[in-house]
Amino acid sequence: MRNILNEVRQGLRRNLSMLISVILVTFISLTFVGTASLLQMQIGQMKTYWYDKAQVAIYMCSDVSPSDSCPQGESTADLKAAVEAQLNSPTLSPYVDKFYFENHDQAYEKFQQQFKGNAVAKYVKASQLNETYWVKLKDPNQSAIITESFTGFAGVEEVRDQRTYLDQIFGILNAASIAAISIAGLMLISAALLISTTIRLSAFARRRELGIMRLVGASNAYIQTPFILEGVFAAVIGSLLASAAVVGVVQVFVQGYLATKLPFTNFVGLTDALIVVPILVGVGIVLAAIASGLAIRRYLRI
Amino acid sequence: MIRIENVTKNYRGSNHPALSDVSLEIEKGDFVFLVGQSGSGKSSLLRLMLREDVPSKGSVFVLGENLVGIPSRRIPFFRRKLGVVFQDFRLLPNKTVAQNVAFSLEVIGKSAGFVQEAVPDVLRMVGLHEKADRLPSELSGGEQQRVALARAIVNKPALLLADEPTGNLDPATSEEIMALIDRINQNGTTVVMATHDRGIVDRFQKRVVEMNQGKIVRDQRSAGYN
Repeated sequence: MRNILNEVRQGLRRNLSMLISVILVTFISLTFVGTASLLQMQIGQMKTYWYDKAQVAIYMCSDVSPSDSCPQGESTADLKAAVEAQLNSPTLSPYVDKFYFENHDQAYEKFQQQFKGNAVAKYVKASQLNETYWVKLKDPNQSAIITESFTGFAGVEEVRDQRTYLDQIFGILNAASIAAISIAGLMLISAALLISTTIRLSAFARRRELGIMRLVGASNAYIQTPFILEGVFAAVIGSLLASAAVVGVVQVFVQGYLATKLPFTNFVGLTDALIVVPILVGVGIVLAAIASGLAIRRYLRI
Repeated sequence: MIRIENVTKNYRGSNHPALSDVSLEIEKGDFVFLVGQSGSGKSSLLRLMLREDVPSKGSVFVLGENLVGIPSRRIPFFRRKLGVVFQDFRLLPNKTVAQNVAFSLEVIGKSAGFVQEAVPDVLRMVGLHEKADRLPSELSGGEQQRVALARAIVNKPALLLADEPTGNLDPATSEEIMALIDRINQNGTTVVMATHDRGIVDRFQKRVVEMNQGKIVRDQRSAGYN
């Protein structure tokens, strides 16, 4: 064992620059892997959080509604009562958790709040904003029931599941994380190739020694192990750097900056980052062991 | 000890087989000179005995192992039972004489205690115990070959394979090396030695196996080069 470790140390010293490049490539590629998995976790968290909050909006007709869906103009009290009766009916009520009505003034107030400082806030009038029934479902996945019941219903301009807006945002985030994973994949491939090239060079530099080892009957494991450890050592350092980077990003950027700017969003935290760390180290070790093991196999063929 | 049966070896890209239907049996304690021109198949035969190669046809048994069917993880353990020396010594230039010999014991997992005892013993036997701390580059060719011999026999092998061990040495030095190999043989180690050195073969009058174009053309006891 002492001999093996000695061999590893010598091998590492011998090609320091290659070692550094292996460390950097594994560092960067695993940072991408870590970021991508954190992004996935973030999406998952936001989905559960926002999907739970998402409601179905039943927009009632207003003065400015297009006439094809609202031929009668502004919805009358009768039509609103019909919507309410339908929501309370035995067919729909089992699915509905609760619902509330938002009139023109409340919609106006909310609009003014949301678009504070925006020029549009000055021009919009209360009567132009739809009166709305906000429906919170017991199971947000079943929004189709509401959509189907109220689309084309007299006095209803449109039924909109808020999750359709969310889906767009999540789609973008998802695309970003897929892009990060693809980049990570490419970089992992190049890391594997770089490791195997490094090990091959290192084996070539020591081919004399390897030849003698084989002649005197050193076992394959004895010959292989120092090279594999060499690759694994570099990858472990790279993956530890990547872990530090991922934890750093979560601590400083996500928790330190994003979380204070957007206080109502639930962001990934240190616990999530610490779940990612062993994954990164594991991927680094397995990748390096396989790459260097395959590279050295050629020198062991007898 | 060694049994080779109807062995043919073809190398890719060559029309003539390196060995063609060769059969040979070597008993325990034998001393065999393999002679013949370059390219006659001597080295190919030694490579088969060392399991550096497998025959295209036929079978090779060495030290009780079937070298055609042996699983590759067993090959290192087979090689521990024999010693090898080459024309070019194959020493590690950055290790001292003692370290070179010790290296071959360490890589097969011998204990430090065993290494400490065996290395000075074997260096004394080859007459190099006073140069144990020298590097190979500080030694003459004959001395380097003695280090290689020490490395080959430190593990007390039953078989010593030698591929032109005197090929790079002057006649006087060759004589010393041959005396050493003869002593190793008298201690009970079987020796198979490929050589071009007519003088040595003639003087020793051992078993001679002559090869030509991949075939054994003569196998004679107590014989000379021709």
